[in-house]
Amino acid sequence: MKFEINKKTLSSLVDMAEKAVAKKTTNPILSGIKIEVAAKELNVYATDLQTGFHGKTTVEDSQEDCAFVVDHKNFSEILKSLPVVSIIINYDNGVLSLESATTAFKLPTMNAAEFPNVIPSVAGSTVDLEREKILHMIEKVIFCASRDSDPLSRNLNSVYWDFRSGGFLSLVATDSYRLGISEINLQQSSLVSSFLLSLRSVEELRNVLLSCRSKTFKLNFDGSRALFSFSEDSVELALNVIDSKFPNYMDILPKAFKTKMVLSTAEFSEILRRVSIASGSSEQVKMDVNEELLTLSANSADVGEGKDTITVEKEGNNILIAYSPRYLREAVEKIETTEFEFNISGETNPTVLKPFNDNNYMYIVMPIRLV
Amino acid sequence: MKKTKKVKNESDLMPERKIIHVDMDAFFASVEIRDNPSLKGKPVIIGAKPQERGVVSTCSYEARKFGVKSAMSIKMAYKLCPQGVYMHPDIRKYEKVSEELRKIFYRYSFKIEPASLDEAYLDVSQTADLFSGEYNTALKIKNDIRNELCLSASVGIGYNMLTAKLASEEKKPDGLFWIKNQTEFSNIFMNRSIGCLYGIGKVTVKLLESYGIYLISDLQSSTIEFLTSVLGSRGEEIYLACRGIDEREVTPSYQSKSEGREITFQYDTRDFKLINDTIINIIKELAFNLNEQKLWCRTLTLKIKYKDMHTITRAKTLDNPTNSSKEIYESIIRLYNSAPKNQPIRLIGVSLNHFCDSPSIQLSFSDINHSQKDEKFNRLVHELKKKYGQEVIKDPLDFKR
Repeated sequence: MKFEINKKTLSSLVDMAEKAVAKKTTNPILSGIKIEVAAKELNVYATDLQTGFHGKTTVEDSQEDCAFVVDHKNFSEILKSLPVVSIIINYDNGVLSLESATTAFKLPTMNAAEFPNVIPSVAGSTVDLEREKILHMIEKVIFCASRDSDPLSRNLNSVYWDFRSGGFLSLVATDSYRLGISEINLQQSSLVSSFLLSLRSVEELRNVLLSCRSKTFKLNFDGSRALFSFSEDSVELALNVIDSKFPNYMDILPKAFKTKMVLSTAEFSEILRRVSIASGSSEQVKMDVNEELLTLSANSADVGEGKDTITVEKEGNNILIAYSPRYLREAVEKIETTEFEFNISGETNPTVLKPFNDNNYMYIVMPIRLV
Repeated sequence: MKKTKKVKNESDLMPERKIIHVDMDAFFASVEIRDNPSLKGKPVIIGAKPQERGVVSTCSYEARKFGVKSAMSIKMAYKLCPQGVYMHPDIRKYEKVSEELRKIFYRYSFKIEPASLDEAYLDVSQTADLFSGEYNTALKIKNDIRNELCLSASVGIGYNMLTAKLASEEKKPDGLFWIKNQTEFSNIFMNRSIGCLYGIGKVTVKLLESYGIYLISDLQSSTIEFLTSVLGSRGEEIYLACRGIDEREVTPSYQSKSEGREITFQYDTRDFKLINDTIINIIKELAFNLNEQKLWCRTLTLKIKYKDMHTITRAKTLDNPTNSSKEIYESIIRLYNSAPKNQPIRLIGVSLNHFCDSPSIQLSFSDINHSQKDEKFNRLVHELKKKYGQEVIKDPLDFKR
């Protein structure tokens, strides 16, 4: 079996499959991608049993059907290194060869029959989503998810998808120290359900959202997996939901605030960046709000001290409070309005950051306790 | 092939450093005299009452005139100086003064290594210029101590820890001395007896004297091979020290400290109950010491040595520093559970590292209502154990046995 294919097309499919390929696995077949040619279509499959990827493209000159599994890393690396527009792929009796004008590679393959089924049949409810909007929402919360992949904390090593009545969708992520919520009104959506997707699954989804061209895509949820279909790109992604409980994030939203401020986004991120330099290994900045003055200060044994002051609009009490500079910076970076609200509910209670006059994003962060 | 070591100058080894050593004069006794002026001019001996057993921990300079010295038995001291005022040490009080001292040090440097309650090294290499040089820095520290604490200190300035310490000894009490470089070191110490160097005690002096080495200059002319053959591994250290070379860095105590304990089982074992009990005992002890020093730790390490002597270590760095035995146990037991268990275990050890003394705790959403309470509770439990012994209150870990 032999066919010619555009290198870029194949390479982009293989790249999209990357995050779905199992990283640490005892089952070698999962570290490969499955390539299947049938009825003049080339299909690429990858899965780690949690995330499943399927993408396809057409091949004109294929004479017969075939299927094989090849190690993802080697295949992808060789593909990228080929200095040509199109390559000839030949699969014969378990051996895969990649050829161009002067180069020739031969790779061993694994049996495609052993590769698990990646894309299930469609069942349950389906909703239409806009690719760029969802990508934007993911970017605003994904950094809050816990990186700890320990089974005990897998409910935080995730992003929570909450489809509520009235067509609202919230994406929520937290590492128990801070929490990000981004929200959208889908206008018409019949889906009312919520599910947890692992951070790795959502990273793969982000990868695909970035690589695809489709303006919209379909999300189908059947109670145990979410299937994302990008019809214009001929790409599907099946993500198993995590069977674990996400904390009730509504509980941590403060009911009242001690100090409310409206800050200039550019001005605040500027002084935060500057003063953070002095925080060094102490990993903390102090914020002193005194009438209309906000002073950030930091000191550490390895750097020294630093402080800077800006004027702010303030309601409520003066306060001295401390934060992790990284937790503040990562949130302020996500704010797109020229001003944002900085609302403090106490020295040991959550602080809420949100864009000014915009209820579609909220970041809740716990302070550092000053001793 | 024989490896020969090239003799280097201190300056080849590291950039020029400025180290200050502060040593309080007769610290405990001076604090007592300061707080009770009627003791002024009297020989004050801190340690124990004359009829009790014990040793002298400090004595005033007046007592020293009678020949009383630190580490001498109280009985002996009383023989030499029956008219002395004998007192028990009030460690709490000295600790407080020591804290005040440290606050003064922090004005002049961030890099401070306390050697004991009354002694500390300051690395002022980066900061001395802010206070018009190392000499003025030392003078300011001395004056601050006198003005604010009404105590006197001997201060030494050196280009490393060794010379700073020797300099503070030089003009005791209330002294200030500066050893600027290796040449100056040699000029001053060349003709002194070898006993003045740190690490050379009575036994070593005798041993070296038997080879005809009496003076620092004799030491300087000995080869490294000779010194290591006589003194073993310490030979190299002394070879460098007699030339005024000392590469040790001033390390703030909480950065360098690590505390650990390991236990070898009488018989290699797979018995989880026994292993778990051992882990609990170790952690209770370590956590108590941690609380005693008012420290928190961030990294926990579990060590397992198997029957075939193969050893593994597993470490976990926590998001926030902890001083709670329960938290330490939970992480350690998780490390234990994920460790291989295909052979009996010979030894088990737990160590705590990455200490800090004023933890900034990143609060989490689960702390919204109860973090302060936990902290106060922990402190209270510790105080109770300290006063009435470990068994007065059941540790949360005892329920995990």
